[in-house]
Amino acid sequence: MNCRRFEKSIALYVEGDLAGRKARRVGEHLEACRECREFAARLEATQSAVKELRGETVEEAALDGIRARVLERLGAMPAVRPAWSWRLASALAAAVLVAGVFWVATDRSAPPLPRPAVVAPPAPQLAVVPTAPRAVTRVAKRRKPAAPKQARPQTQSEPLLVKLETSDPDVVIYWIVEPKGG
Amino acid sequence: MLVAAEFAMDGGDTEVPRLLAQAKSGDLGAFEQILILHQRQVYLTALRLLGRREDAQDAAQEVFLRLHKHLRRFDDSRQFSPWLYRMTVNVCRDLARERLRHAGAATELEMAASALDPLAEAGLAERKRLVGAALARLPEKERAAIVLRDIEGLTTREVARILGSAEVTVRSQISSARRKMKTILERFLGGRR
Repeated sequence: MNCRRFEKSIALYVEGDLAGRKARRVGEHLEACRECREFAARLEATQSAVKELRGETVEEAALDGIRARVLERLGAMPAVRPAWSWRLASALAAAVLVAGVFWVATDRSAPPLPRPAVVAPPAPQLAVVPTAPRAVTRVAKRRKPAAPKQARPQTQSEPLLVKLETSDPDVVIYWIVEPKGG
Repeated sequence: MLVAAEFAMDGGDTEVPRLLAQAKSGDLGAFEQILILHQRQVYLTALRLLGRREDAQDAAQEVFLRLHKHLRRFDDSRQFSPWLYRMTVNVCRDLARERLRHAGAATELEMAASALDPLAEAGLAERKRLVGAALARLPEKERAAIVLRDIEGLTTREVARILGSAEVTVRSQISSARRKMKTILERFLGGRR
């Protein structure tokens, strides 16, 4: 009898993977065939060796290492977000975009810049010589071309020119004082 | 410290759905609990499929990183453990192919087998190494089938679902793998049992 065709089924039969008519057929054959009974016995022996791996032990350190590395990697990654948070984030992004477009499109005026602080020169040792307003105006126009527009206050009264004479006769400082308000 | 392996399908399953829901909401602590519950299963399966502890550790790490990445895809109405097994098998398959491209075929287990003194009585630890060596010689799909069926103790139907194959195909792979394991192990252990 050619038993080769039974070996496939015996490999399933020994572990209870056959049922019904197929299992009965193999069982009957094994009762009748000594060669196949030996084959089945040897297969059961090697299967026992395979299943010994079920009781395998694991070094706890190996598991700790896996866990530590996974958590370390996840710590550097963004957390899993629930689906609703993505929808919320999208809505917020859209709102910011709309607000930005509106802001750009709106005619807006620049806020007034703060008035620059006036730092007074060390006056005590200098002589202060007031001069006539007419002369002041002419000097002021020549001396202040670079002043920023926003910094220039809107004056309604005449500015006061202060002439500062230093110890060096070649150095004379003109200081234009504009009244506040207006 | 050595800890005995547990092979219960979906061990701690009453807790897992709650932990999964929390982990999906971004709770890293809940994800860590899932990892602790399943790391032994993932690591040991990877070890049997790959044969080397270093590779098994790399695979287990990759499995849990993928799990975290794809957690939201998990259908809560299904069992978690088979899904994790499938992920483990896929990661091991990818890793084995990558290793094969970059290294020679000789594995640690094959070297252990070749160094066996044929006159010595094989002890339990040695038998385990030899079984590992024999597993390493099986074709990839047959190895996955026999590991899940005979070592992890899953049913043929569960194995088929995990591997994405028909039950009849898996049955054939298991039968072939058992006969090949017999041939290889008898060569290693013959006359000493």
